Amino acid sequence: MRYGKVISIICIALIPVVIVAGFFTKWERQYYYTAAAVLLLSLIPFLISLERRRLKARELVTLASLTAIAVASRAAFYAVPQVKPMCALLIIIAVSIGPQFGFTVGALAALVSNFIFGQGAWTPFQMFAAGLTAAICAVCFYGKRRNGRILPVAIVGGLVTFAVYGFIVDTCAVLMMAESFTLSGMLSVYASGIPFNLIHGGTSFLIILLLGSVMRDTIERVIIKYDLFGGAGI
Amino acid sequence: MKSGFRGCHPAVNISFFISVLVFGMLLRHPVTLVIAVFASLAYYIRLSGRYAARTFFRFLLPMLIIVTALNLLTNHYGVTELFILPSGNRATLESAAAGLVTGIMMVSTILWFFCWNEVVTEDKFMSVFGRIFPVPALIIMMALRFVPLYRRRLHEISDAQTGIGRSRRTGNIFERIRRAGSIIQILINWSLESAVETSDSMRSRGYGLRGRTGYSRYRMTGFDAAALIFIAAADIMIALGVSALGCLYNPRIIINPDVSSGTVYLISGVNATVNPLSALGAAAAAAYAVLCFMPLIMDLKEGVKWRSLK
Amino acid sequence: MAQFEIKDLCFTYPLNGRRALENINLKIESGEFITVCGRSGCGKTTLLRLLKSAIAPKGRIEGSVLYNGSAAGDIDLRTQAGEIGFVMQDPQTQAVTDKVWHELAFGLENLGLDNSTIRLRVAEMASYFGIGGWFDSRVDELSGGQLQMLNLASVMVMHPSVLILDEPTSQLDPISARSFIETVDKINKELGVTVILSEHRLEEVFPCSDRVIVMDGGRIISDSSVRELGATLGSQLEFVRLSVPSAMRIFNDCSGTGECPVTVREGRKWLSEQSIASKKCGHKSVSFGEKNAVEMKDVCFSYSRDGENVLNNLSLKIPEGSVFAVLGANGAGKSTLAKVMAGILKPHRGKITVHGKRMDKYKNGGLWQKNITMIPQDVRALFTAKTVAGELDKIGGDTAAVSRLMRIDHLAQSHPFDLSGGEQQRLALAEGLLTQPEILILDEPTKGMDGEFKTIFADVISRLRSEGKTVIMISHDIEFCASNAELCAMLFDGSIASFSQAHEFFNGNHFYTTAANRISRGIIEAAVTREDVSACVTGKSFQ
Repeated sequence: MRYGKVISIICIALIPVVIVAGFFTKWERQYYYTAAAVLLLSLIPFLISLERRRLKARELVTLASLTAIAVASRAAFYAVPQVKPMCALLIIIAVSIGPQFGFTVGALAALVSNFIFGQGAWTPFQMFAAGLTAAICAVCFYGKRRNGRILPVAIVGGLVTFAVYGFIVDTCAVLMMAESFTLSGMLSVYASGIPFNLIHGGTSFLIILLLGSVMRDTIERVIIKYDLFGGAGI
Repeated sequence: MKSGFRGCHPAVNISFFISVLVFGMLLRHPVTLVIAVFASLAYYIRLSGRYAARTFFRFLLPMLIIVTALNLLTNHYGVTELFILPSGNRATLESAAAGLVTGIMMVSTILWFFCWNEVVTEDKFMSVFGRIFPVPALIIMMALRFVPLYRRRLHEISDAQTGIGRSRRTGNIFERIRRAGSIIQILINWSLESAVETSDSMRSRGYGLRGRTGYSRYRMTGFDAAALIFIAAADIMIALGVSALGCLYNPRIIINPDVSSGTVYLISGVNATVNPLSALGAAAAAAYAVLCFMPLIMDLKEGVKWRSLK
Repeated sequence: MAQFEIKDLCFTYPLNGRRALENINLKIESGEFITVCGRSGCGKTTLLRLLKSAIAPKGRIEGSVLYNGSAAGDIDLRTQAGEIGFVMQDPQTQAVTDKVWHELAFGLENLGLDNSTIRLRVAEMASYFGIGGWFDSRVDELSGGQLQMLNLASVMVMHPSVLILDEPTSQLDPISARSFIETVDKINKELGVTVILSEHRLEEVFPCSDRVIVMDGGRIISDSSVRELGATLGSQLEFVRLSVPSAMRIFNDCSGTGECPVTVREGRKWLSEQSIASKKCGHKSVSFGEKNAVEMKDVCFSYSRDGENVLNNLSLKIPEGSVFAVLGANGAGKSTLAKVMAGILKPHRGKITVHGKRMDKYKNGGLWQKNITMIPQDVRALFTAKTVAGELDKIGGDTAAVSRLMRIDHLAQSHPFDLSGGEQQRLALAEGLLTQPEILILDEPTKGMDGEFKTIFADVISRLRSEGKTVIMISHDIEFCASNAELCAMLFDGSIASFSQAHEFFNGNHFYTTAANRISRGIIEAAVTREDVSACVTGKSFQ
């Protein structure tokens, strides 16, 4: 289990390095290699860790359940147009269950939602983006100040959704065109994504701010009641 | 059970799609680009009929044009000037060609993914994925089962809250988000509590015992094995020929790498060089063509057989 | 040697220190069909779960549970998984995978069987249960009845020698429940599998049972064959008499002698041999004022623009102050009708008036302010607060009196989701009463209720009626509607197929009617409830 953890940390740490290296060295078809490396690095550790730690049946079902809640949550926001609540929910979930499981739920939620809306070249990128977004927020807030204020979570969550999730998903679009694009071309693709990412980050901020503490309490109650995931880190 | 390529073992389906997607990204030769886009479009039409043609004309063709135009307008490398843009920059043939190449690669990639979604169903993906990573596969499978259930529950909860007078459908964005929040809160409680019963049901049926096997409904037939061997052989052939099919679009267009012998066509007016296609390159392109058209050939062959049996 | 032997078993839950089981002694022979009955919270579930240690509750166990001579706790998980099958209450939550074929294979995968063995066993079981037609379906496309049948099949595929079922039909409609019980009976009779089943609804279960165990307050208070129970029914507790099949109840009310009838057929035979005081059952005709609580005219509703109409030109008048029941088969659109009446779903055609005012003229949620309240089928959809008290305080009013009436006053500080199913239902009813509606709409209110609470619930309904409120029930529960509704309507194919006073309604139907009516048809005219039949036979009044 500790072995798996080490691999996981190394893999996650390597991801940005590979991305940067991929952009600033001039190999042939570097975008392809970068994409492949990111994909493998982000998928392998959490798959390994899930296999290695013998999870209780109850934890497995809870992970599946949380994943499905994040994916299905869109249906609850039918009265609010233009909102994608999945990231916000993933952040709240991750803050309650910790970075590693948060990454798992995030990545699986992206995969599962693509089973419904169609898989594509973007699948691994979304998986990784959602997982990382959730994990970063969990690293900042998991286990600390259990009854702490939700505002910091909302601010960080909104920022991470805007910057990390948005950047990684836009990178997918860039990579698909990168071969013939110059740096300015790439930047223009990123720039065109900014308004969407701003809305995404803003709504995530709002959702976490308004609903975060109630939902965190709700999830933590069940986690404590059934002694899951090492008891919400308390 | 589906027939033709869709009736094949999931390992055949998945290795086919991985092969065409990987080589589709690596190969930028005009011939292979044309093969890829035609093969993927033809197979998608075979799978989805008129809907496929509509998607192509309404979504993919415009995308191709936009990507080409975007490249033409934002990149100014190349030696062959076509015209001067209002901004004062040059629009070049090379950047148009590179844009077209990127566009075609994107279109065929997207088409292959459309076909993937038709061919590699959840069941098939899970039977392969579940072999390698059984635990994540089980989580994904349960999540896939829960999503439609939870969507129904969300509607039920929303209706129930209305029925007891606890909700108004109107209000500003904050109130609407709060309302959505209380609905999700109930869903979390409800679903996580019933997850306990699900896990009891799992344990009651022996989950957690050592030596769990994965049941697969798909049996590997001799035909499937032959198809796998064929895909592997084609992959090797193409991989060997990747460099023989190399092309450059920046700063000038060079189709095929330089070879010591043979005729070199210099299309001087447009600064394009067409080197002769080597034997290795030709063989690789042929292998690529057969690989890409493999599903369609399988389907058509079966169709012919059906007709002859009537 | 008995298959199960339970000696002086006591069980204490760790949290509240409550004794859930006290001195249970029981022997179960291989191949028996045993029914366990008792009120909600009597310890049935605890007892059944202790028979299978993999899902036994945590707590202090005294005494012993022996399975084939060895302690149940020591049986390794593999043996347990294979030999002791367990089916739970809620069909939705038991299924694990997303496809029917995979659900069948799941247990066998856990046992580590190879592909070809699994293929064979799954094929065999799918044929035995008639699952072939939906073998490829997604689990979420199945109806509750199909799903519970799948849950049974995916336990049976492991070839258990004991099958334990904990209220397996409480969430099913009567038709599915009957076919489920028939299948369990078939498994018992054809394969010799021991069946231990707990149930509230005993009409279908009793004829199959070899033995009936009655529990109360964690103790076994009676352990006898069905016929012995029938003979001693007079000395049993009230709730036992309330839950037994109609034939047994009538036999007991009329102080019958000889062998106690259990099925409708036996009931008819017994009744035809009796001297009957009055051959015709008189009913008071109820009349209502001119005013209608809800009036629907040519209402059409569909869930999507191109979809089929779920409600099709439906017209209906529900008089003010009546108790009104809508019956109908699964999928007839009953729940949809309830939501349309409650203003939750908007019909695309037709007119609905509530208290003489068009529904769309109620603004700002006025329709749901002390006017209409609807309690959904699954009451878990209601609870947002952290405690029962908080849940009730959100609505306000005389929460103390209502929670006493609903018998949830001792639970004030519990989390709503920590309550049992029956308690949750009572909490929801309490919330419904606190909103003080003029019109109370209840979707399947008696689902999973035990016989005793049903009588309390019936009192609540009659009190609402005496206050001039209108109660609309959507229900499968024919017996309950026959005794408590004044007006009944049958929904079929999206519109009202028949509509009349309750006794006329059930008397006019041949199949879709109460067991008492089927027993007395042709012998006593117009008897609908078992009280009617007993009263006609003896000439005394039974209420």
